[in-house]
Amino acid sequence: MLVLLPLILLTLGALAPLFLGRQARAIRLVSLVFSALALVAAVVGIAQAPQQVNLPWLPALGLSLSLQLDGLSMFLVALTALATLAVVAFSDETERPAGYYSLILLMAATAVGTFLSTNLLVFYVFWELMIIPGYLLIGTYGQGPDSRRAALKFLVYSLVPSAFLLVAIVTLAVAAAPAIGHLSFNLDQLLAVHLPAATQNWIFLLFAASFMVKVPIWPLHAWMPDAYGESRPQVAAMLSGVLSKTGLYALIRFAFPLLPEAARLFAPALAVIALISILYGAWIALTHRDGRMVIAYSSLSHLGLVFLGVVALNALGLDGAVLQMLNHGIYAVALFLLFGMVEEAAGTRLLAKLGGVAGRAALFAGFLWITVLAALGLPGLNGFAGEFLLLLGIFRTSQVWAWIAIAAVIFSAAYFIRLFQLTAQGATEVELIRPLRLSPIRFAVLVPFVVLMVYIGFAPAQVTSRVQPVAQSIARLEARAALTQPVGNYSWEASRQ
Amino acid sequence: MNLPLIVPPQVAFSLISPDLALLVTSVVILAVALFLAPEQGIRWLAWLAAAGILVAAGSDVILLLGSQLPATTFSGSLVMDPLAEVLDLVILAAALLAVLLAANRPEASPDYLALTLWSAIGMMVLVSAHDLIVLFLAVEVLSLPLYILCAFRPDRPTSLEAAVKYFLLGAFSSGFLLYGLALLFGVSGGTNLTQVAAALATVGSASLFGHGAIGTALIAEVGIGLVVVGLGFKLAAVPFHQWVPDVYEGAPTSVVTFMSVGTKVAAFGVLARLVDTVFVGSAVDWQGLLSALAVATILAGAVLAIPQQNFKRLLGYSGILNAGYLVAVLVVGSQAATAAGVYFLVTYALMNLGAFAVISAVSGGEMEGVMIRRYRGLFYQQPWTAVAMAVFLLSLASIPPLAGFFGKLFILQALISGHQLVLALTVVAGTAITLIVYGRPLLAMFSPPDPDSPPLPKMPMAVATAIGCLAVAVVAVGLVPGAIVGLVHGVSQIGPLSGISGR
Repeated sequence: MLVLLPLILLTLGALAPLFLGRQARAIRLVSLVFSALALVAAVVGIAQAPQQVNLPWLPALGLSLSLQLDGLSMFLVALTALATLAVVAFSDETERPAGYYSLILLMAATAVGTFLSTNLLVFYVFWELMIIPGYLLIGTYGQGPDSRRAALKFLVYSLVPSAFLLVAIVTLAVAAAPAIGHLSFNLDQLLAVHLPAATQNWIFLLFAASFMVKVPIWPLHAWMPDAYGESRPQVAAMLSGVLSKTGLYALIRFAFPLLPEAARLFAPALAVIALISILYGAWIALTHRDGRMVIAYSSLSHLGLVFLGVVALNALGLDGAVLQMLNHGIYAVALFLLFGMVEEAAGTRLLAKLGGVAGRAALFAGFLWITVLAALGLPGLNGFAGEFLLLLGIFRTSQVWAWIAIAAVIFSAAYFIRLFQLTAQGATEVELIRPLRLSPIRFAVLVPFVVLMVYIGFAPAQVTSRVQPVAQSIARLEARAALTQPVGNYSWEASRQ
Repeated sequence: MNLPLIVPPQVAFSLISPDLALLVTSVVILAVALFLAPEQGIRWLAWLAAAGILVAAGSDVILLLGSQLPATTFSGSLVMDPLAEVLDLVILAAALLAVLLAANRPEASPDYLALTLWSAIGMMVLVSAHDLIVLFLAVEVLSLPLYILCAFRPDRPTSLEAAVKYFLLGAFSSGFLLYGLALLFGVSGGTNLTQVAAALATVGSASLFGHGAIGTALIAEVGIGLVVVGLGFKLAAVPFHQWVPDVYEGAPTSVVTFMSVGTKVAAFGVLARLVDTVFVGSAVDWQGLLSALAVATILAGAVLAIPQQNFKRLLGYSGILNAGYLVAVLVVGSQAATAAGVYFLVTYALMNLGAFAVISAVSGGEMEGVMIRRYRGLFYQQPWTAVAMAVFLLSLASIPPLAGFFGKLFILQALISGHQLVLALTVVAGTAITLIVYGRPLLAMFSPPDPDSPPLPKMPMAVATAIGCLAVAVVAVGLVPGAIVGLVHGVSQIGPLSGISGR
């Protein structure tokens, strides 16, 4: 039952505000308590993993509530709980608190659900449900004048591919049914079936499109600037820190292992897309005038690198990808939240109008500096460990990819240092509307972030050793794909026989 | 000279007890109303109508659980099988909600109640019809009261316009339907569906160059086409949907609540029966016909719903869209597909009735109250109403794990198992568009409230209870879809089989 605990706690936390009316302080406190409890449960889960539960849901349809906590999912669940805790701590919504905190925790609960599911339909349930809080948070708690349009864009970009994802999932199950003996959506059973290449290909494309939108990966990222720019920094932190990971996770957990031949076929094309993502994101991050957009496009670039590691289709790359997903979650959430405080204090997020924060709030600037260093991949902090492993994996598959990707790492140092300089240092002394002071709760929440950045930087094996078995088994599946013969003969033309 | 003997039909009254319960209730209501001063006691009459509907539903459940089904009565012109009884229950639920919603409204009157019950009888007969003449009579019995009901707010021009529009187009569609039925009778020489099916099967297999075979095949084809047109009108399939938005906007909300679910259920029931007994065995290309209808209906319904500002019109287009899903699943022509359609219809009824109940409660009978902008900030005025509405809208958009999602999932599974790629993709395309449609009111409900808007009307206890029950049902059916899968599985196992109708 430990598997279910974070999910249950976050769901309860999402429901609780509905009973508290307009008492903003009470609602925030309750949300803090529930996300902290979820974090404790997730950390205990890391110690106790692997674990799984299987509860029958709708046996006639091969639907069971199968949740699994293993090396792939456990760190992401903990990351979600930690990010939620931080986001709640850094929020102070007083106008309409019930909806806000409820939606944040609902988003976290659905993300945890996608990380845990090992039944494709259960996964789809959480995946689809996850769109709703995102849509409402961007649309009704937005900052910019165009928040409704941004919400609609987010909705369209998320929904259209995921509607077709359902067709892909059902087709996969129907095609595999003869080999299994009955209709099943369970990952374990589906993994044993080897589908013909033609069927694999288009199912893979629908899977990949749907998952890549969520990351996002170029050219499916068009919703990102609007959604990250028009929403609050806390919501952007959730989107970038947690939601983006669900897309990458689903690629690793479902798309690549279930459709290994298609994955091999499309890997070079996907690698090109990943490289474009890396370079394009880095280029925009380097030149953007808006500080939050610098962080947003840095995410596009960094997650493109993670995606490239996945596409490399070897155990090292996958291992590094999971590690770097965790790392990116940690520093992206911290960056969005810290820079969000600067935005609120200065009333602007244009880098040209910011500056000199370090002189006003040294402690705050210290946190920002460590986070920036972790993000740009300074050896000894967590970002470096992930990037190193990723590049190693990519290098094994293709040296060309690796050389291009390394360029992005250099860019990364440039734009993050620029971000820090223009915000914290410099001659311009920004007028602060509000003091930049970290409340005790916010300080207490930031400490584990910094501890993790240092700890993972020095002991990445604590993570990678747990991911390794899963990564190796997926890599084996990919390697074996070329050797075995497909079974099953589903095709759309069968009705014309 | 020998006159043909007129044999009185054998009637098993226990089989038609639900219909009889409604009939008796309606007569009692009209009789009692004679002794009541107008404006007085209408609430008691509404409760009486509700009680009658509950009795009918109870006898329906007894039939469903008993061992009598499937059976035929009236010399084989009515079939009572699980399909019919399950759909009857949905119709009765819609009628019950309509009566509850109307109780506090200007449209409430003894006539209103009686007409609603009569229309419900027509719907219930239609889903059991196994004879061309009964089929046509049932369509008329369900339609005529609805034409009148649409005009039940004579103080509003839109209500009268809706009634006239509905009546005129309805009369045309009846003409199409009747002509189609006549052609089928001409081909087969009988009115019982079994006879029609047998005749159409031989038309299909006869060589095209045989004696008069081309003519007969053509007549059968045109006949089926015209029947589909007539029923497509009732089902609100594109291009026979023109009446829907205006009628939904103009007619009283309680009437729209009833007809949006009731007519759809009835039309789906009879079309499913026709597909299973008549179409499947014939060589006519009914699949192509229904596929085209389904694709047009889904896409047009979804796209036209996007710009709507009036919630009732929006739900009207959403009704068109959902009719498209129902037609699509019938194309497969298997009993599992019919069962998927029934499951979808049951879930659709739950969420659609719920959404209309909320609209009725929020609008308080005012025209302005049904605009989407009226829903701004609903969450901060009546949080639970907003949560219930969110549940209904998300379920309509088939967001898991609500009831609507599993309805859609079963339809998709049926289509994919039946190798209908185009239809499966159309269904998900429609689904993708709908969340954009339902997303707008959803966003409005959670947006900051409009300071200028008038306070919301107080909600009657019965309506609040109904909304609560429906919302819980939508969530519960989603979380435990097995609960009604068993019920619907029964439909698919025994089903509207042609084998039982020969008696």
